[in-house]
Amino acid sequence: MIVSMKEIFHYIFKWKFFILFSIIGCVLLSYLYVQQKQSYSANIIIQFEDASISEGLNPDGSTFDINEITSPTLILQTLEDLSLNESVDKIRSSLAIKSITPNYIEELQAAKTKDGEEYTYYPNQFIITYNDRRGAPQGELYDILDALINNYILYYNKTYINQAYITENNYSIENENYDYIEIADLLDNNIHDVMNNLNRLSDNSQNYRSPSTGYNFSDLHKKYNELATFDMPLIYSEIYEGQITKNREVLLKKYQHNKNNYTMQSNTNATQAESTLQVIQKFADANRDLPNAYNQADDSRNDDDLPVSKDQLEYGDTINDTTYDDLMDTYVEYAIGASNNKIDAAHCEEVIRIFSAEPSGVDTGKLLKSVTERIAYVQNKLQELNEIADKTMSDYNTYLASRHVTQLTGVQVVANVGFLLYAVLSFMLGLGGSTVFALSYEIFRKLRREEQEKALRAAESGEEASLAETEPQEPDPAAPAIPLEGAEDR
Amino acid sequence: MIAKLFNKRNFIIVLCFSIIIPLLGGSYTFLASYNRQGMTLALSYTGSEKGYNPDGSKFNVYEMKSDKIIDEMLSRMDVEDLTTEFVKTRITIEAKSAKQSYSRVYSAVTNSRSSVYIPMEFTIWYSQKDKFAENHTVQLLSTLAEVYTEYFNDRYTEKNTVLDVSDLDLSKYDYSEIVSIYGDRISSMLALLSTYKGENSTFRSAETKQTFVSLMDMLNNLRNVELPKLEAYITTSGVSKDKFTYLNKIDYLHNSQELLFNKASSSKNIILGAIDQYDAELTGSLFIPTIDKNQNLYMNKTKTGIDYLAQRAQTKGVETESIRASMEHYNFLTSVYSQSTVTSSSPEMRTAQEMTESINKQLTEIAALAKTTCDEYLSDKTHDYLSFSIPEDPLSSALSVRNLIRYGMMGFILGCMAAVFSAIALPHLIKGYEWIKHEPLFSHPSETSPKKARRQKRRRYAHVTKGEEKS
Repeated sequence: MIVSMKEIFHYIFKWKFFILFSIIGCVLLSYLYVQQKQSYSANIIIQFEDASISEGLNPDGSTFDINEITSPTLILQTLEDLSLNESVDKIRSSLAIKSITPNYIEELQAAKTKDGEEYTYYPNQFIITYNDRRGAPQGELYDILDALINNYILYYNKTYINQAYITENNYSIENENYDYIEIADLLDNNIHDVMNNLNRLSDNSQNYRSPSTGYNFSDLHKKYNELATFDMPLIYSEIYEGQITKNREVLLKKYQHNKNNYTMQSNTNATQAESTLQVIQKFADANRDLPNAYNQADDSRNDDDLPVSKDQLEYGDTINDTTYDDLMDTYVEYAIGASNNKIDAAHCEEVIRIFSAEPSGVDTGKLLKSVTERIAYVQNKLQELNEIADKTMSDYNTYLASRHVTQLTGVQVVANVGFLLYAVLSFMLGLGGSTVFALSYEIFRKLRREEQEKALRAAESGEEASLAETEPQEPDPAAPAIPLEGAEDR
Repeated sequence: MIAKLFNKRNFIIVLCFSIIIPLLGGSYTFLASYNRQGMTLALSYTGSEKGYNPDGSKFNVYEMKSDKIIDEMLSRMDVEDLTTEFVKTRITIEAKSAKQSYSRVYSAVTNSRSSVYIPMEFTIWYSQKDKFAENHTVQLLSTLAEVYTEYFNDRYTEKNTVLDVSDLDLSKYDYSEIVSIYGDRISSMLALLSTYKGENSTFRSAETKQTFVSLMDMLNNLRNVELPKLEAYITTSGVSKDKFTYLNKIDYLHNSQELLFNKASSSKNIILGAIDQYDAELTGSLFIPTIDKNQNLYMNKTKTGIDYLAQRAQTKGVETESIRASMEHYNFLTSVYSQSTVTSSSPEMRTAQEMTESINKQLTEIAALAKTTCDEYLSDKTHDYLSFSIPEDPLSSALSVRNLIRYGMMGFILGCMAAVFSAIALPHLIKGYEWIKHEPLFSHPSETSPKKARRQKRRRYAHVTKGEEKS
């Protein structure tokens, strides 16, 4: 049996609808399969802005480890934030971190390796991937990765960056252990601590203004300064004027004790300064005639036997202190310490003098009432200001967090199972399968027809006479090889 | 053959498909989308392209699903049986980002180029669970947009708190202190106005007709003319609300400054002494081996202790002089107030009070003007920060004409296909089926009886015979 190309095309044309519906069916089935098997991955690219990361260190000097993103604490926090009832381990095992190394670094690394040199590169850009295997919807993946990155940024900021904070002391005027002057000291120290902090922040971030409070650090500094300049001096002056104290004897003893401590410390510092000065003189004497060995870039021209190592210092490195400088600094610190302690001892002596004499010509009761009221006022005002400062600093810390770790992309969710591939495969399968089926069917039919024809001819040979009138002797050679069904149609 | 297609039967088939498919598709879409509505949130402020809020903190669209926002939203809605936790599960947020953005950034980063792509548009979907209850999707989304906008503006946009002077309680302060407090307040206000002026120097309020520059001029006049005048008057006249308390306070301030002065002065002298101790011969030979840009070694004369000590001495010297100046000021005040005879009934006291009140009045007026102007400016500036696009009517959006047309076209095409199928392929299939039914495909030819075969052959060639007879 011979099947011509013409016949094949004819068969395919004949079965076109079957083939078309088979293809559509296969593509539909593949679509349903992909829908059932579909899972998603969420990706994000983040970049660390701190220069220390390029040296493999966190801003605080500790070793940088990007895998902290997958720490159970952060994942647990994320799940709590999203109210998800999922296992921490499942999420953790679905997270993958890949560093991004620029092409030129890879080329450099390859070149160095070729020369047998080591080259270490610490990347600061990473791709974080959350590859879900639970068939979770796309939105959930987006939520999880975004919340995790947010939590990590906050963690990084809290752990490695110096954050702005408020120093608060908890004390009460009703506390019997504190005398009025001690409470005043605590308040004054607290105010000055916050002011110093605000001053530093104001210098670093002059343009920052909190969206919650509407204040910048300079505004807050002015508000604290009102307390420090107007209210606190009034409290001190009234305490001294009226010798306001809860227990004069205890107060005097305390100041006597302080005076002794300051004097002792002053003497110690003076001795240390003197001793350091002697060391400085000896050090200078010993080093005065030492030749300056390294004075030529060309090693052969230096007057020593030591080879010059070019790896000692990189360009731009500077040495801030030498031993001689360190010694001199130490001497200065001791000497200043001795002097300041002496001055503080003198101040204690003055307080003792004031509180030792009996108050005269003043209304102690009135002053006591005034002091108590003013302390209460300052305490309330300080608490109020601390709340505002705390809010402002909290806003600032959030602002700061986004400056240390930045996102280069948003979270992008992609399908793990690509429908296009399956669609193409199913198209091919549908087309191939249905065509093969159609052709096989037609070929079988043709084969069978030919066999039937043979059988028919064999049967006809016995009854030639009776059928001679109607049956043609031979098929017309001019007639096309049209299938019988086609002929019937006509 | 084509002509065969244009008949009444096929027309009915196409018409039926064109009606039934849109009806079925439209009903399905209606059911699916009527209770699930989405609104678009677009960010448009400086920094949004980097994923920041207006204050520079990181933008987090999921704050929209926070308990605080959902609670507030539900409290404003008249919907029963909805809990915060439940509503959170029915809201989904999708970021609208270009498909190639991620690979573009990745490619740029690997080629050491700077590239950032953060989506600035989001779709917030709410799907109402009970499909047969009254539809509240649009109401919920509208309220959510309203609550979130308020929250966002309150949390992340600027505030002009420093322009509010209503909290000034100056009754417990003396005149000299009041001058200082006014000075500080004016400085803070000027700093804020200066920032706004830098952002938009030509802005003029429609309500107050003031620009930031004109407001700054008013404040500068107050600070540079009125305040010094008041300060000069009260200082030279020795005006104080409580002279003795004030003198005591000045005395305390003088003493505390003296303590600081002694410390600063002593430190300065110690540092100067240390510089004298430095051996110039030793420090002169201090060179540091350093490598330059061309990787050549050179000897670097680094800063030595003398440099640092000199800097410290200079700082201490400035501090000492500053303390000395304030001590002299306190001495001056002590001498003036000690000799002052001004009492609460003196005309100087009245004048000082009037001057203070006048300044207070001016400051309050300028602050009110500034606040109105800045409020208008901020309103203009921030009203486009967030823009929501919410479907107004869920019914009309669910009954989309576009969808109906789409389904209609689909129905028409299917109808045409069905007509073609019924006209061309169906007869083949029916005949094929009948043929298969009478002649099983896999039956052996020997199984066919000669009589049956003859009958079939006769039938097949019948038309040929008829044709021959006709001809």
